[in-house]
Amino acid sequence: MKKFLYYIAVFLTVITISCNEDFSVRGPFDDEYVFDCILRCDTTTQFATISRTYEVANFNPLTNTVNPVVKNAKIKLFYKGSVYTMRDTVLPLTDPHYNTPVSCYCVKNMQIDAGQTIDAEVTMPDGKVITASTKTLPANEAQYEGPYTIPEFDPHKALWLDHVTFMWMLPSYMKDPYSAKLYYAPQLTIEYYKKENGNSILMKKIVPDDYIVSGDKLVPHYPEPRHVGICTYDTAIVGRAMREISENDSNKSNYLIIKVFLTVLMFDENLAPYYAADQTFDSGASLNLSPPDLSSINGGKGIFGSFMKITKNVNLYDWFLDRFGYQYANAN
Amino acid sequence: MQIKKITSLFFLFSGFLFSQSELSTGTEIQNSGAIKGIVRDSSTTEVLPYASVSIPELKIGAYTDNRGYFIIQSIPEKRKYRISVSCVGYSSYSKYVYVKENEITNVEIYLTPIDIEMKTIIKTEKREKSIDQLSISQKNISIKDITDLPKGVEADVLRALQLQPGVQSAGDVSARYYVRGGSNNENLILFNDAPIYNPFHALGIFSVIDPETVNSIDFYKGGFGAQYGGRLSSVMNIVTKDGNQNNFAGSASISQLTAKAMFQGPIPNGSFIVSGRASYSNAILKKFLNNNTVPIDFYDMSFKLNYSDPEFAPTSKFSIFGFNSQDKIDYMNQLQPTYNWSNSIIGGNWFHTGDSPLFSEVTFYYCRFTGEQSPNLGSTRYMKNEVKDITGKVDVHYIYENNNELYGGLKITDIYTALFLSDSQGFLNDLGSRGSNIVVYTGYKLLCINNLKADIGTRINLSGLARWGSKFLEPRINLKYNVNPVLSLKAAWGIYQQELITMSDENEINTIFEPWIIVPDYINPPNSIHYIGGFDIYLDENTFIDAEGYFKITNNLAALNKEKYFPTDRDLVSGSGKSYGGELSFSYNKEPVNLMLSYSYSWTIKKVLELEYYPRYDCRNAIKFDVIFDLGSGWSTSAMWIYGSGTPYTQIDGYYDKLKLYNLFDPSEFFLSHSPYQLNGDLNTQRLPDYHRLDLNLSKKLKLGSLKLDFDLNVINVYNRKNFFYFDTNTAERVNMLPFLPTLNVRMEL
Repeated sequence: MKKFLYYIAVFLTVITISCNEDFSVRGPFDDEYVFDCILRCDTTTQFATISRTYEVANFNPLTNTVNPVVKNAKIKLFYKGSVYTMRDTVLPLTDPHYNTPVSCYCVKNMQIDAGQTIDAEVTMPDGKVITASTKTLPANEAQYEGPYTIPEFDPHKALWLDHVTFMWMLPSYMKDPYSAKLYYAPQLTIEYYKKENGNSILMKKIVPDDYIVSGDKLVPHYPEPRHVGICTYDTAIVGRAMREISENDSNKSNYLIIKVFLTVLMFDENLAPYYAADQTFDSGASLNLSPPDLSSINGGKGIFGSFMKITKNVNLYDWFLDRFGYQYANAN
Repeated sequence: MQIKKITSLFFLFSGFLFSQSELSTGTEIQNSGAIKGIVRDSSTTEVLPYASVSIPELKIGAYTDNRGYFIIQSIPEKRKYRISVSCVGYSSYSKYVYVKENEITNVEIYLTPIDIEMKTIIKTEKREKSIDQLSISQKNISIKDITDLPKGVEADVLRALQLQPGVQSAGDVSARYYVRGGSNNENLILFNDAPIYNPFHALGIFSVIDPETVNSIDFYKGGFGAQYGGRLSSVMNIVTKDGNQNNFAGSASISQLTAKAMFQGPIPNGSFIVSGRASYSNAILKKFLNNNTVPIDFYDMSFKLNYSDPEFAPTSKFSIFGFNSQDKIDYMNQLQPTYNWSNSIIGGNWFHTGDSPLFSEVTFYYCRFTGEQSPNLGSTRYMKNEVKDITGKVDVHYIYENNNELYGGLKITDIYTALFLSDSQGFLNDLGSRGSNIVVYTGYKLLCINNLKADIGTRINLSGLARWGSKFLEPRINLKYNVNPVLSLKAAWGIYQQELITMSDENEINTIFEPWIIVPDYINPPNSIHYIGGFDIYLDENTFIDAEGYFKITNNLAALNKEKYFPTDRDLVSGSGKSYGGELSFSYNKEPVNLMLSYSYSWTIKKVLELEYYPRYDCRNAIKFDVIFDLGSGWSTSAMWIYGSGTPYTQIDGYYDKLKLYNLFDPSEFFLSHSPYQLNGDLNTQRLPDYHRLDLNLSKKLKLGSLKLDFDLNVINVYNRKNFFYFDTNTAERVNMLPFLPTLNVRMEL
């Protein structure tokens, strides 16, 4: 019995002194470089940023006040047999979180063409090298289903539709368009001149695909990038955007509509999943608890991708435009 | 392919055993009679499952099934025999029965509960049962086991399971459990044969089953027979009380969380029982939820109506049963989401014994589960899940004169699932589907050979829920060999399939409800193979050692696709899993002490998308100890200590500012749109501190005339162990499980 009581006493002592056990939520710091570079086909100046991973004492990364940007790295882009070197630059922009000027790297006179492979090699100030590679899409092969008119006429049913549908595709990805890992960002733009004090000012109006009620206001909603090459605009929404051009201006003849066109940005096979992963998570289309950590950088984090742009003009019928009282440069 | 080979071997082996049993049946006694009957509690008239019925003179006997029925065959006819009946918690009873030639004599036996007579308990039947019956990985849990032990707030059926070796708890604040490395959704919970799809109240803190309504619980940790299917890991079969056939009776009790009441009584040729429970205060729940107030509101209610007409159908019993539970979390704030979920069951059962050693049962039920998460004006997305299950089934058991049993059945199930998820535009996508499952099962229990017992059976899925027309065979075998009166060896093997799964991230700390769907057609339904072996040692009449080892392989494990980048990518991918381990338990039951000590050692490994990892519930070592001490004069005390070595977690290795793209038409976004992203270490490679907790209970039963009062004082986490629950990265705070917590329950019965 004494032995039994002894064991009980030892047991109780052990469990009582072990009432609290610490452990580390924080693992060994994962010190990595983050290289972001999205090559644009609509400009000849290309930008990149480099930053570093960081730690915070309290597990709230928003409390980090030290901008993790990395300067003095050497970035080389290998493109069409040439080497483009990106230089340290400070932009006239302020980082909203760190409240510091935006530091980045840039290279001028680099025009990105369709169907090209571009390699990147980044040598960090400490000598570490990270690499990445991407291939621009064959956007010069892109095909529209058009021609498009607003409003759209259905010749089979012989009636005017209340919407206009745009469709486009890349023949290289036609075999299985739904499994192609591509993303498209469409944008419908109205380009017009507005006369002000005798001068004509070139202006643009981006057409939303919907208006959403927010409180007591209607807020425009623009089409989100999508996986499939199709987007639809209600004729009424286009009409509303048309009216907004001259809102509060009774003299409608001050407005000359130059053209209406659809622009589609086509994300390459690196950029598409990077964008899609965040969008899929943010939109609730995934049941995962956190977005995937997707990176296209060898030896680091970040994104090295490109997008191409294709445009398609849209014809407007006179009788449609007459509703708004505007002039039209290319009247039908 | 491997499964096909194994299945062929199974049929060869079964054929061999069956031929052996046929040889032994050739020695049947001619001109014999049989005794068939039912054993009941004399005070409540409830049937008594697993009571021992024997004829000492002939050294033969049987056990009642979970409906209280038994049959003893091959009794030499034309004379009187003394039959002896005993059951844990009841005075033993004997009576003389005259056995007629080639006839079955029906008897109805009433046992008197021990607490009415005070003391003298007979427990020898527990040992006999273990020797004679196939009980691998199986446990009959009595309500007394549940109510006598320390309780969180009130006695809980699912929490009581966590004392079983091989069962891993999801934590103090959850009644969810994991059995031998299987996920939570691999556990089948049956309420009078009908499945409960979401058996949890209040964020999973309590089960929806009120123990007051329960008559018997069978729990299988694996290796379950061909009569059960649809889940990979475990089965819990709950049979509710029938109600008092003689007197009206009622009870009411109140805890710090709920108030509940039960009423039962006779109806012409039958009985009824109705019970209800509702939450009335959230104060105690704050202790479970790190002092956060969550406006949890729930209730559950059930009923059962039994009818047995001695003239119209003297050997039949008809039952209608129903169950409903409802939970609601409403913050009364338009910026906070609202949650609603409910379970409903309505069913009927016709049990028929007839004048032959044939038991047949026809059951039908309709189950519905709905769960809805409404964001209101908040940012949470809308989600709604619905499961409708209509099932009809027939079960037949035929007992041979040599006690062997042939059983079989047909089950037809039609299941509709809907899972509506909203996208960022508010459009609803439905991931649900509909399917029908037709399954035939059959099995043969070989009990006539003295030392060897076997249960060989198979389920034949003639059509699958997931794929109409797809067939799948689930052969099973369960063996026991009594080496001598002290030592028994046991083994089980089987293939199990599951076509209904839940879709949720297994790393979620506490899910409100897990949405069910039929396995989508782009992945194969999960299946598992159980290999179990072990031995029982009966040291003496009161002391028992049970050891089991297991190896479980799971194929086509449905897991969330962590590489879902595009909305069109599949939500689920097929993985695989394996778990293995050993369990050793020691139990001692001699008045006034009832003690159990167990140790389990286990490994669980999953492989999804080429990544091998230990799931969050992989607990390497677990020790569980409970003791109940009857102090006499209505006083009793109990203690429970649970230890579990640290479970896996993933460390945070840093952060980086990730480029978030919204509008690439705006060139400045590239420079200005970054948000912090957490870098995690290798998945679940670290271990949390060990878990352990000591709970104590002191209870007193009082009888004032016809009024019975139970007072129940519990102290949870006596030495205030700070068991880790989760780390709140928003506040950088460690959140622990239940602290030192005294609770008091009062129960009143009339």
